[in-house]
Amino acid sequence: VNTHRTPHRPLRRSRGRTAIALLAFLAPTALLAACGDDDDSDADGTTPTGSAAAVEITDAWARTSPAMATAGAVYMQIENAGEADDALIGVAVDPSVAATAELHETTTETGEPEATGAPMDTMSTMAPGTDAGMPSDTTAMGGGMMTMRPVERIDVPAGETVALEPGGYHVMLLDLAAPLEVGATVEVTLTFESAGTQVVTADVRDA
Amino acid sequence: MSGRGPTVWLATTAVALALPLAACGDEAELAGVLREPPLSVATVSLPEASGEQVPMTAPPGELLLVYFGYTSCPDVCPTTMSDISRALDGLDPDLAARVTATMVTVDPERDTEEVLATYLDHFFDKSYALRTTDERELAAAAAAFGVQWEVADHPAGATDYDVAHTATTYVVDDTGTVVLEWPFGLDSASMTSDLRILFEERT
Repeated sequence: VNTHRTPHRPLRRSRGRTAIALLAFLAPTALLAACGDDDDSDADGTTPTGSAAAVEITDAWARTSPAMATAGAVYMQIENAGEADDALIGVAVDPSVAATAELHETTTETGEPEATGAPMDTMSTMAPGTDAGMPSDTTAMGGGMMTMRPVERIDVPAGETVALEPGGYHVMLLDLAAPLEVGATVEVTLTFESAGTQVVTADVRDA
Repeated sequence: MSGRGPTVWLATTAVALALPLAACGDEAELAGVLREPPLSVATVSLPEASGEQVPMTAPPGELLLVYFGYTSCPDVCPTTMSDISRALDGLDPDLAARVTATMVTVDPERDTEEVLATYLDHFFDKSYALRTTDERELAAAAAAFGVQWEVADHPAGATDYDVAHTATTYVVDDTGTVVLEWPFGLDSASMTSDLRILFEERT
């Protein structure tokens, strides 16, 4: 969430005024940094679950799902307080919640040189003549295509906390049996390489 | 540095102070990205689920928030819709009433009219659920915004294929101009602030 600054205005650096330009540039930059808009605190009502294993899951939550939506996502913080590296290598969910659960990662595909804003797959082909008004900078602000891919493992190094969070790693629930509604909970069973399995109860909420 | 008169220093100080003040004020700085040169999508229109053609131009004095996505998307799309929803909740109701969230599905195969409309109703009081099965029409609209998307090859009838897509939200004004772009992940408070600024600029 740190790529969202308005691009720097062009620096007017007329002859011999480097110092002025520098001052004018540095001062607001420093202050801008000071008045940041995101607080990254993750100490919001975390509910420890699971056993006393070295791996501890906190703040597990699932996003509410629209009535006819088939997909859901579960997020959490995974802390490895132990001295050995571990990894999340599997996830399961009861069929009463969803048909399957998978570990996924959302990724951004950076714009490819030939990208012209047209879909590049075989199903959706570019209509001829529609590129007339194509903006040339479709990926100028990191607006590359976002996609997700299944991952086989999510490493949780010793002493570190790995976040499953929007826009990154998540547990994807496929073919939801019923909509996820505020106030409900969903259970997922995580399998760690070393720490074994842990049942995690995720609160369903909007955000 | 020698030889600069007091005037220069005064000017320097003034510039150095004024800029950050503007940036740090309540909400003077736009968090989204300004498109230069401004992009017009005024000629684009897409059919709503009901069949009515919706122009990509906001009604007078209003704004459209346009997003290309799909409902089987578990992470990026609901995160964005939720952020936009909370951003509108953060606005004064009279301003929020002048903003319409708009989602164009890039997956009309799974996103039937009903699925798409139900999806948007989950997040918004009013919204446009735009869907076309005419790929040329979708491609033309996406191209106008600079949106890319890609539906993975899949057998007929499959329901578990992947879709990649540009996850930017486009703020469109009443002249059909994209006045601001919100990259994926922008927090809702910043969106609220941006909308306030845009409305203030326009009154």
